[in-house]
Amino acid sequence: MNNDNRLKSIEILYIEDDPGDIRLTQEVLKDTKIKIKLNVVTNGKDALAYLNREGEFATALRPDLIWLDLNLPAMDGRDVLQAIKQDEHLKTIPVVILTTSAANEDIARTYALGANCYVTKPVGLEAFAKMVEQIEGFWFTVVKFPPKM
Amino acid sequence: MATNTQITENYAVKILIVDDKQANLLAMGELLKNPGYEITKVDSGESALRCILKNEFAVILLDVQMPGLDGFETAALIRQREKSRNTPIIFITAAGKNHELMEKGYALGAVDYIFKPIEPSFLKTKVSVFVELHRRAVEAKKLTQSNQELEQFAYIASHDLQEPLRKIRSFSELLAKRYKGQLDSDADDFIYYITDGVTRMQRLIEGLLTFSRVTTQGNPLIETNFNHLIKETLAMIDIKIKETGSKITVGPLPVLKVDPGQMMQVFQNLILNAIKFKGQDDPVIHIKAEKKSVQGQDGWQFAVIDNGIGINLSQKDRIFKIFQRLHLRNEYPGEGMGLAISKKIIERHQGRIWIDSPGEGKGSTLLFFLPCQDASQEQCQE
Repeated sequence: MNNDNRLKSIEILYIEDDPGDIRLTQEVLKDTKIKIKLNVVTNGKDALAYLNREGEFATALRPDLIWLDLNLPAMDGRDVLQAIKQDEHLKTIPVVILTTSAANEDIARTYALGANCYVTKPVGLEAFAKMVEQIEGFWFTVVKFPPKM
Repeated sequence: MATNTQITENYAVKILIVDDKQANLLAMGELLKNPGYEITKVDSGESALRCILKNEFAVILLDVQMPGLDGFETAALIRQREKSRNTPIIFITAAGKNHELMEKGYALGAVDYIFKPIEPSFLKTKVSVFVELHRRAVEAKKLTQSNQELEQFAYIASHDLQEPLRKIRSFSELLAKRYKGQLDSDADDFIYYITDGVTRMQRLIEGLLTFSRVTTQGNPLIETNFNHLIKETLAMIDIKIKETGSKITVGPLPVLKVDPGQMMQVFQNLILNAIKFKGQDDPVIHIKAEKKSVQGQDGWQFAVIDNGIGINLSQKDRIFKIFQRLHLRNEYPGEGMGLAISKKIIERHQGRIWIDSPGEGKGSTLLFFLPCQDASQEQCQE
């Protein structure tokens, strides 16, 4: 069984440019049972640098899960997703799209690009907390991750 | 004329006169002189075609007998151009009434004939009719466009407004969760008013979004069995029905071409309204439809009849306006969107909706009429 994830904290890379959403997620995670290390980058360029351990991210750990906002400045979330899913080494990391858009074309397009699931940011603290909890519950207790390379 | 000056005075309507004789051009130009017209005079079919490329004319007065391209040839070429395909053409001829000639003209798309010698008032009246038609078409086009823009605006505005609001709501809720009872009671009150206000505003914006989506994101109209549609609608609000002890009965309903999702929204709104505005007794609601002919148009009239608080009929139009409420929020919660959205949906189906009530305290009946979309009578049969 490849469950040694459980012993150390789980690494999430959160790619999000909205400081309010970042803070809210951090606050909600404070109340959660699972040990999560939330690493935040605010743009696509940093996200790829982080994943490829370049520059200031040279010592970054490979994340177990990526949370990706679609609307990012400069390099769009869709471009980031495409870059991840076309990279031999990165494509096995599950990507959860976290966005305000409920547009069908966004949903269809991101799945086509290889997103592992698509979540619309809900309204209200309770719903938001519940969403984070459910994402955690699913990805960290139900799902088996690909073995770390 | 005066009635229309307000919307039309800011532009002149273009008229084209084509005649190979300068004297005729001059005379007709003088005759039609009007501050509301911008008259262009050309002396050949060739120049007329050049003019048409650059301008949109309300009407073209075209001499039949001309050297070079004659009137008929010119008309045929005018009709071939996209921009002038529908521009009315009046042929002017000295040839006298000749049926064969006239038929040829009509086949080429002439809308009228004027015979020389020209009777001045006759020409003026004819031209003014086409000018008026043109103005109306332009106004209608502008109205449709501004309506579309407004809907688009409502959609974008409400969509973008949701984002900052989501933040205010989340953080004020977080504030309440973490600090409630730790500050003083004033602070608790203030936090309550912030979260309450934001929650309400969010519902208003969602309503606005739904409202604007009625036309911008409606689905095509498909043949729909209303008996099934009602069953589905009732299943969706089953909890509410049971909770309130509501009794709902449904008569036989027709099959009509509608947007089923939108129609379910209408019934849901009307039924939930009937439940919300209940009187002393538990709600008793009956839904029925009957075939009707309204102003020569066949269709079905639906009714949702309740035993609720009824309505003073002096308010009957107000309830269909967006954000209008007749009651205090703490008496009957809601944002005043349901009926406005229902009205918009019914109007998208070329129908109309209204309310009837024997008076306050005596229940009310929400009625709507849906015309049969196809001329085919089958549609209107059960």
